[in-house]
Amino acid sequence: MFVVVTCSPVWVAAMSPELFENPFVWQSDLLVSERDECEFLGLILLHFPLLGLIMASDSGRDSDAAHEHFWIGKETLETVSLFSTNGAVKISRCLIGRKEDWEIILPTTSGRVCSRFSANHIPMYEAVFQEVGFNLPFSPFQASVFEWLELCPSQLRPDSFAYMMAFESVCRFLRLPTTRELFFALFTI
Amino acid sequence: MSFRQRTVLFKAFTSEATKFQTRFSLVRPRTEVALSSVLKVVERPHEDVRVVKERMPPFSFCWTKNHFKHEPAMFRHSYLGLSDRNKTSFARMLEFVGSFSRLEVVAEDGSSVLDSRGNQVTMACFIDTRYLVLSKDPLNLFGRFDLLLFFLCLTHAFY
Repeated sequence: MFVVVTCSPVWVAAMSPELFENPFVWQSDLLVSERDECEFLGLILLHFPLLGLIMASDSGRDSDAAHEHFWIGKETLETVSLFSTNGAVKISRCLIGRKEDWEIILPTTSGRVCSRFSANHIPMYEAVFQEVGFNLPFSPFQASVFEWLELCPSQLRPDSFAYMMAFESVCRFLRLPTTRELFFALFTI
Repeated sequence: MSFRQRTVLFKAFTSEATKFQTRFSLVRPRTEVALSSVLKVVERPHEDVRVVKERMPPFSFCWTKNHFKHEPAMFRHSYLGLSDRNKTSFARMLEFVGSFSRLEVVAEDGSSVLDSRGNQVTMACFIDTRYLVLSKDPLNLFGRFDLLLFFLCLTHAFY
């Protein structure tokens, strides 16, 4: 613990990038792991100037974070889901697919659509289900589109789901193979 | 991120939800059937046995910047690069939409709009994406092709 505090932020980041990215998590871990209160107070007194230095480097860290998230819009980074803030907002379970197969989990207020969630949790916009009429599961064609684009489903706007679904319907009607290659000969991003 | 049509076959889908970003939740597969639909079996070499089969998601479940490492052009497929089968499909789709009757453009008062030579102005007719995806039975809708065209005429008259 002492080593961590007395190191430069850069060195701390090299040791544990995920802690450096989120200092609040790191501080929380620090408090939990340090059970000796006296030792902890001593740490604060001895290293307060150094902690100040680390805090002073926040602006640099913020700019680093901003640089790292350049590919995410500011609005996306700031938008909290209404489902996490307003319990009165209802979400219709039956719209997403077979309720036996899929469940809806509400995000927390700290969660963003672009956050990293637990395994097998997939963030989805309600509009994809409600407005476009999409139902889970993803078809093999849709999965191949996400794979090809190297994107998560919610990185595509709801209208993109509409085009994929319409394309699949036309292919089915004309009895054509629904291929990703054909789709991307007709569509681009 | 949205798709744009390189060859227009579908009518633009305009979302009614302007603030869709504020309404997101998480979905999670709760059965083996659902889980299998978002995982695929991949084989990887292993030192003890020759290969090990693993189930991996074919696409990322969370936001990723991998897409942005590439130029947008990398994700396109040129017509010339398509297989013969896909070229046939491409032509069949163009033929299908091209077979739609062109719509006669009318003014607000219902009178025909004529060009400088006095001919009726017409416009191409495309597949109504919204109507198609919200239809409970899209294949049946195509089967009732007359109904689809009738609806297309109606919607174009309003827009």
